[in-house]
Amino acid sequence: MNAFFSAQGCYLAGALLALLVGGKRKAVGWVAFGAAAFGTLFILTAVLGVFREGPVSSGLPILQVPGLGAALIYQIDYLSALFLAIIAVVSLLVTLYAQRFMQIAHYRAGSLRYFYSILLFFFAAVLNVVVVADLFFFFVFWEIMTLTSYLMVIFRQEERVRLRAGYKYFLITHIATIFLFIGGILLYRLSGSFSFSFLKMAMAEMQQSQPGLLHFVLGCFFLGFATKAGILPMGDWLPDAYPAAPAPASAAFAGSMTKLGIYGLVRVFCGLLPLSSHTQIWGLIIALFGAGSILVGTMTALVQEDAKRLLSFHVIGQMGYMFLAIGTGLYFLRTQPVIGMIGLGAGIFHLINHVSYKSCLFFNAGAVFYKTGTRDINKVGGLARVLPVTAATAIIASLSIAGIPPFSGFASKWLIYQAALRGGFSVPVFIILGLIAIFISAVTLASFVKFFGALFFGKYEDNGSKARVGDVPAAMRLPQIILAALCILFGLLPQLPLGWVYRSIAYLFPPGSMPAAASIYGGGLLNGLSLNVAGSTAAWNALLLTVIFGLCALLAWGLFRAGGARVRSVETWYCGEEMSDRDTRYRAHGFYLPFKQIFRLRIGRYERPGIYPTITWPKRLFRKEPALNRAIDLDRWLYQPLARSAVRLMRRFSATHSGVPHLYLLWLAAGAALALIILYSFSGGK
Amino acid sequence: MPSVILLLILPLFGAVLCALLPARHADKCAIGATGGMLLSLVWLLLARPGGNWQSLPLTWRWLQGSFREGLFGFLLDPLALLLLLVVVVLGFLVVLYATAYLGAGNREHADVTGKSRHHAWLLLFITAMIGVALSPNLLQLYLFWEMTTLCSWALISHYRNPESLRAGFKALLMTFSGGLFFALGLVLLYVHTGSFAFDAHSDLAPRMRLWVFLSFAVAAWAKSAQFPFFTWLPDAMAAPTTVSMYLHAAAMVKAGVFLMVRLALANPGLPWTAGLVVAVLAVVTMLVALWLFFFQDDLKKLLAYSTIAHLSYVFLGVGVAIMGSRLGAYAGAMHIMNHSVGKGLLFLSVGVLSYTAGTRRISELAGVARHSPLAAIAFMVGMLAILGVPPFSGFWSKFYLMVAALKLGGAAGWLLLIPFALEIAVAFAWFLHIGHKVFFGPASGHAAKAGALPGVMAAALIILMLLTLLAPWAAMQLMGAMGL
Amino acid sequence: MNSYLLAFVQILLVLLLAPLFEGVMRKLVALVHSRIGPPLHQPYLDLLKLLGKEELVTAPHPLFRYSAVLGLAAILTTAVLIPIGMLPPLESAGDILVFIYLITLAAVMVVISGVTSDSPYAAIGASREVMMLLTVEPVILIALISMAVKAGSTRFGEIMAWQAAHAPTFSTLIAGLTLFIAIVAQMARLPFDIVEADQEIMEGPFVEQSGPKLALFKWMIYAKQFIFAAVFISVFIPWPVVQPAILNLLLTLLKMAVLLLIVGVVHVVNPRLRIDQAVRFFLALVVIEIAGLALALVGS
Repeated sequence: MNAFFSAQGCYLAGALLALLVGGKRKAVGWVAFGAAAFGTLFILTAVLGVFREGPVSSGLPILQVPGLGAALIYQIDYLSALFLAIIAVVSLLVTLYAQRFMQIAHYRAGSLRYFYSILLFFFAAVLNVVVVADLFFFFVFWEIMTLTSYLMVIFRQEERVRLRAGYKYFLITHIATIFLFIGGILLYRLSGSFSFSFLKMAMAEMQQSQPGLLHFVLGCFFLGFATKAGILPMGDWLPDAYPAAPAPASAAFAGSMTKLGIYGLVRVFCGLLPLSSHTQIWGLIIALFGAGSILVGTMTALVQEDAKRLLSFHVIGQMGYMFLAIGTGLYFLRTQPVIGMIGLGAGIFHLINHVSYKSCLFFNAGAVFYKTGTRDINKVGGLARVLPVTAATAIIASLSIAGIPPFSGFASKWLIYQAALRGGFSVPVFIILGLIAIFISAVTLASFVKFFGALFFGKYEDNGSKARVGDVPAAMRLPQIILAALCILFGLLPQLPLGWVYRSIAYLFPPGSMPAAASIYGGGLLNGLSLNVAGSTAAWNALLLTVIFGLCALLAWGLFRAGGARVRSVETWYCGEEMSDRDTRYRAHGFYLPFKQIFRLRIGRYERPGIYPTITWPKRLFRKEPALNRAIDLDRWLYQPLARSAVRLMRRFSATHSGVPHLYLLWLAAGAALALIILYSFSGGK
Repeated sequence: MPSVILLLILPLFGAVLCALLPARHADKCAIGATGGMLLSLVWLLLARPGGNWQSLPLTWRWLQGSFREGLFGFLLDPLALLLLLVVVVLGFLVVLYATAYLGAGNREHADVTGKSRHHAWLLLFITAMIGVALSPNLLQLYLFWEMTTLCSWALISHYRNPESLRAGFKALLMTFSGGLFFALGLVLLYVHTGSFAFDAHSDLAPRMRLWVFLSFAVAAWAKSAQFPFFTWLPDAMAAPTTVSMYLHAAAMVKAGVFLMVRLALANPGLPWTAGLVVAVLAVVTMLVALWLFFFQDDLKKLLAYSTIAHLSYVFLGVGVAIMGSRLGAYAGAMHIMNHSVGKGLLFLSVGVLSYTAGTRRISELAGVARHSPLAAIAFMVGMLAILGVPPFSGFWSKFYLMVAALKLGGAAGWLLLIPFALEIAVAFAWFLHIGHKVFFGPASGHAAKAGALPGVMAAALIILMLLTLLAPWAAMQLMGAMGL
Repeated sequence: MNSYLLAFVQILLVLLLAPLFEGVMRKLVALVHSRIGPPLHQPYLDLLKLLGKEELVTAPHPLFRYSAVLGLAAILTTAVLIPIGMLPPLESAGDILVFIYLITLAAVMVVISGVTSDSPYAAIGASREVMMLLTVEPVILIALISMAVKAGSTRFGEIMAWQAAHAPTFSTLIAGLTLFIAIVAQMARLPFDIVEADQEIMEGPFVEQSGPKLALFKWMIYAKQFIFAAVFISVFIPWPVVQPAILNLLLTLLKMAVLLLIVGVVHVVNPRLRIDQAVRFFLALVVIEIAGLALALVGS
């Protein structure tokens, strides 16, 4: 626990120091990186400690809120530890990357201190969210996380488009948070405390006594978490907000923030909710929303031409995969715990993979922006020549996200398909969801072929920036290489992350109630996955098949060289015509046109590329003053008439002020008489 | 004890000095008086045995006679201390700010002559508010209450143009008419119980309890600008920003809600109907104010409507407390403090716009952040505090309020919670929109030509920003001591 | 160890026999055209010739040069997962999903060779390849999953065993028919010869491929053809199962030859569809298949 507090101190100290260091581009970047490096070191120590010696808790509350039964208590269990590790690694890579990326002239030197400070505060908040064991403080840190991320979205506040994105983001997530509040408070009404352990009991009690209300509570939680995770339709903010933030921040969002939606979901739906019909119903709902996001998000990504916007829609799609997996897992946890655990594990495993490849892809997009100053994939091409490392990592990450074996994305998607299909044998709707997931996996591939094909291959074009020769600086290359290596490592050895994932989930349930890891995944780090569902097995042995693939490639290479063919460099052949490079470039826009034309939204005359509707807000809220205003304007119809009649009444009285002494005497006498009569009547005639 | 007396005497003395001495000494007198006031508050806090707030309340009675609580005197319990902290700390800051704000450098209202008048009335007002906070019974509260009304009239009319004269008169008329109901309640209470004590309601017959309480409530509604008496507050924005901030966001309007919280906490047995009336009216006010947000072009008026809505949060808390969820009253009390710092910060940053850019019209402002970063940061912090984004102040009391409303349970709880949640969401949307429009994006003409910001104004902003972080903590400690 | 040996044998089988089946098909096409046609071993000669030809390089990317190697390797790897008349040798390494995605990997290599070659024709071809992948892959997948639902397993071996032991049902018939059409597309035969479309975009992704690269790609296409034929026969027409295994293997090869002849006939008598027509066509197939899947789920 002390290691965690030290890490906390590192991030906060770094944030304050960054504010003080101020406008020196390099220095402030190194300060942030130093803070994150030390913080990561401490966090990883804490995580290793947890995985070795079991969960730890801060024991006594650090802070107490009077009257609410809320107290700041930290507890690091395996699930928290897993997320801590992810966030820490992401923070390290992001600050390392940002150190060089933020040096481009696009960002004012004076504003960098704010950026780094906010970034570190953001990481501090995110770290707190996953370890706090009290719902009230969970909300507090959750909102601080939202606030800091919003500030990063509007970081270049001079541009209206970023402001709009930040506005949408902050507003939607804030409303979602209100729902979270309501859900939490409703539970609190039963428990009298916001501590997770009490809420767990309250949920069990509510499940018995008020099942209807529990559905409402779960609905609130689902809304709150799904919104943060970018699940459609609530996640509409995501494709605007991600591109608006600077590339390191986008990577940080993809690597940590949206993932916390999953964390919250697992924490509440697995950690607090007892296994019951509620888990089944909400499992199905979560899976349905997940499949919807997969479909709409990824199909929309296919028509995007802004690199980061394309990636953002894929975030939605990939979050959909996680939701589908977790929903499936929840649904079957009660009836077929093996499928349940496969689903849950697949969801978290996919999350880990998504962090690695999606952060990597955002880094790739950032590297392209760094070199060429644009994110429009129509305007650049052939960049593999100047950015070889970026291109290589982009291809690895793309193949991983598209679920191509043997990369990590395939391993987790394979588990998701297995859970959905196996579950579908008994509950057919899951087969359909699984088919959607499989189909969209191909769409993802298509989208990323466009992405890396247009950016890195084809004729060289760099948006007129005359990109300097040589790849991006080492500080930007290294994070990409590390993430790409993780994509390969987790793909080849899925048992390694799955071991952590299994422990983190199984700990949420009563000990012994879930099947052992070896009986689900098959044992052995090198043996690959061998699922065993109800006596029938399914296997994916990445290592073995990769070795065979390697041998086959060797064989094919042998054939390739066998003829001893000479190699000659030639110009591209345009059927004999002389063409300029610009004219012959096949732009990203042209990819899949027929397909895109078939899958587009058409309602009457309203037509959109893709199936994603956009809402345009009215410029002015009201064209003319509504009638309600006149009704509310109490001055007009109540107070002013009242005041006017009062004034008229006064005038009437002032008419008596005539200046004639006799009349005054008369008034005096009349008044005195009246007074006497009144006094007399009150004294009761005595 | 001497510290309490010093607290009351110093601003009064300062007011007299400001009025009598030549104008060039006004700033020094005012700073000295409020600074001394602040120090004596610190002294008061430190002099408590052990320095903790658990040992409150401190009472002192004068002209005890047949009265339990004394005819006059002091009552320093945590609730009083809460208002006292707001009044004194913000009073010092606003005077600090006013020394620069009122002057030839102000682009909207260059004002060279009125400074000593402003300071004198403001200090007198501070005295009155301290009196309100420390009152041990309703009678003394009433006296100081009307004193604040009077000061309010003078301060609103500070610029002496027809608009401000009219607004001042309107405010005086409406709050004073409300005050008549206070007097009515006072008389009824005294006639039936022979006491002016806060908890005397409990001695009334249940039927009478409702009517007496409601007559106090009418006074509070008028003072705190609730529906249907809210119309004076937006007009009162004709006052200098310092006055708007202090009287119409931080202190004076808080007197009404303070009275209600006092009564709700002192009298556990208030009728349920009274609670319902208060809560429903609070919700109505909230929605009316919310609706009127959309039609404001003057930043200060927008803030005024927001103040109205936030005061109704407190009323909502009080109503909920009377209806059975006592947490509501504590939440309301906390919101007094949390809202004061947040809204104070907002007003002061709008004041910075008036001062440096010469306008506070939303349509004329854009991209202020580039040229006046401090004002932008201050406004954003204040806005987040008001909108209830942790870790800033507003969140904490809003959360308590939501808990209180939901704890009430049943149809009533939901009927109150849903509009409340709606208000939170829509107000969030609108304020964020305005914040973006005014402070971010490409700079407008006014914003680009903004002048420099005087150091004292900047200092006041920075201190208030820190206070938005500290206030909820202090409020929770105080309410914890109050029995939360 | 035995299974590894079998795997090796199966890889070699695919590598060496695939061109022969291509030769058979060319002969058939020629017969329908009333030509004499090339000899059966002509594909071997083509490949040998190409392997020794000069390799022309238009783009410097290593992926452009070696995508053919990786593509062929991906297809050969699938050989260890599929049944060819006998149980798949390395069934414990992957199931139908792994198979589908290895095939996809090969398609990705074609696409990469297209987009890296700098030629606009290749880029169009790559775009079409991806679109075909998008629409054909679900068809194959749903067909196989219908069978998996029937068999209660996603492993080729168990699906094959189930089918061999049961009479055909409505759902398996639907799955078989749709899979057949999908296979025609996967083999890049008319009416779905859209990716290469040599009259329109000059072999599409392969326009800049030459020498050994082109040889490997051609070999990859032959192997893919062979593998899909094997999968189709093993999964949908496993009867009659004869002993010993070697006999069954020969029988399967015979059935595959017949299947490829039918594909050849389809190829000859059809014109080429436009890509959008193909996409719509396969979408319709998906709908039919889903109905078949529903039938499989209710047990008919």
